[in-house]
Amino acid sequence: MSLLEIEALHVRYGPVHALKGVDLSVDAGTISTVLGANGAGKTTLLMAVAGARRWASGDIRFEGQSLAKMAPEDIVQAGIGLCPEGRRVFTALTVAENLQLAGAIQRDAGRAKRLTDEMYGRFPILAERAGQRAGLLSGGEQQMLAVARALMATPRLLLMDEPSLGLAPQMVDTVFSVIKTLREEGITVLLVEQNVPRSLAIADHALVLATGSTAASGPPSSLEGGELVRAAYLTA
Amino acid sequence: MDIFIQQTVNAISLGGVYALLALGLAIVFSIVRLINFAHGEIMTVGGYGVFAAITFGMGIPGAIAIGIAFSIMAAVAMERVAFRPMQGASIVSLLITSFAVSEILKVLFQNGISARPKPIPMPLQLSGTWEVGGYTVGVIATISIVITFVALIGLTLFLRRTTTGIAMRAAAEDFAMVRHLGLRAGRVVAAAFALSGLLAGVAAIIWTANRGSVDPLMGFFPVLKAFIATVLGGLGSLSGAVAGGFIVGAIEVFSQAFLPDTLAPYRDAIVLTAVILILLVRPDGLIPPVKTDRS
Repeated sequence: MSLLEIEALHVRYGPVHALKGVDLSVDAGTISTVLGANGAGKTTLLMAVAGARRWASGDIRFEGQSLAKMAPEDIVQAGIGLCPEGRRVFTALTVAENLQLAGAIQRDAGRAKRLTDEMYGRFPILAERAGQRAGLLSGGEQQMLAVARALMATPRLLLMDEPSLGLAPQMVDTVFSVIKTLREEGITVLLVEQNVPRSLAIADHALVLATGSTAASGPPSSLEGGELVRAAYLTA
Repeated sequence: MDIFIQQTVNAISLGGVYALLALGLAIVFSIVRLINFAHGEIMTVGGYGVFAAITFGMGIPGAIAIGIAFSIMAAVAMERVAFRPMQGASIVSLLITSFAVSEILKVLFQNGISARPKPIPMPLQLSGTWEVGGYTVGVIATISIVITFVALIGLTLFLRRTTTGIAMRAAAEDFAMVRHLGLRAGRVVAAAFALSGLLAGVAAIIWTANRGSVDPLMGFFPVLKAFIATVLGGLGSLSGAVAGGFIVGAIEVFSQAFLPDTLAPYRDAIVLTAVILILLVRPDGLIPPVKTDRS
């Protein structure tokens, strides 16, 4: 059984049919990437998993359990972390407060403290900036904070939406190496990205969406340079 | 000079009450996007709590505890009964709901308790004046200032040091994201209402101590001023609410004290004109809140 199973998912916003029967299986310990042009439904798919979008029909199951009736906070409790589009760190809070808030989900305060130290070890820049307001961080630093914040919940599945968007090339390298490290640690990643070559280079599975429908799905080797990827980006 | 000092003390004391009420409004608005017109009734409930405690001979400490407890319970109950079922409703529907709650409570006070003011006997030593640094100032006014500042410092510590406080500041910026970190939305909202009730309870104690009575409309006018203060400070901004409260209090007291008698009937018009002039220059208020709007 896959860790996450998305089955015939349809999402509508009023008259807009954003997802038209999308299927995806994400195996534990893998990186799956969702590609497609702007408006193809990538973020909608991710936010449906996170509980922020209700779906019209179909189902999403995590470890066999349907997420249909679960609130966003229950989905985090179940083991799915979110690193959202635009990072959405709390800019008025300090770096330390952002992490403290994310650690509140851990019932054991000692565990939250250990996790915080672990995050500071993983991203030393966050330790340096601990007392600074998150709004003062650079885009790359904010992205590190968004990842650390999501990891404070010790998720088994991490949803990442455009983590490299708007970052300096060096920071993009860092982000992709972080994602690979997470997989080595056993965290499954569902990654939405506009950087197609970089995503395909690290992914175990790729789903290409075109205007809400599956244009292609399979291991990157079967897609790279393929007509389907090109088609997906040109038909948007 | 003596008069000026006395009036300054009065201005800070009155402004402090407006600041406490404005903070309660701002905390709830920043998180729930609700403009709670029934906030005045939360204060009134606190006033009746003080009245009940004094009537049953519980003394001043008992009256303070009961007054604050009544206000907190009123605020939390209001959220449960009236606003939680309206979750996801538009800002206008929520506003109308709060009007309804306000009217229902006022009628309940009028018919269930009394339409007339209930006197609250205050110990004599409180109603007098004392000398502070060579100036004669009112006892209650000075105590009010101390209580207000203790409440403001306590609130600041709560918002900075506790996880619930941090969650409330985060929720003011991006509530949906707080939920994506696994924190219960309902708990953050309930905490916001409880905190607004606590601040309204402190305001109720200061207000009843100054006036020596409680009536069904007690909370209405101060909360109206607090609304002006929140708009002036920047709707949803906490530091703005405090600044707005003190400014509105100061304009009110000084215009009453130093304007000629012939202008006295226009006092509220003068306060509001001053507010409009400030808003013309700064339409988002003096200290606009941090807010990332997301669909």
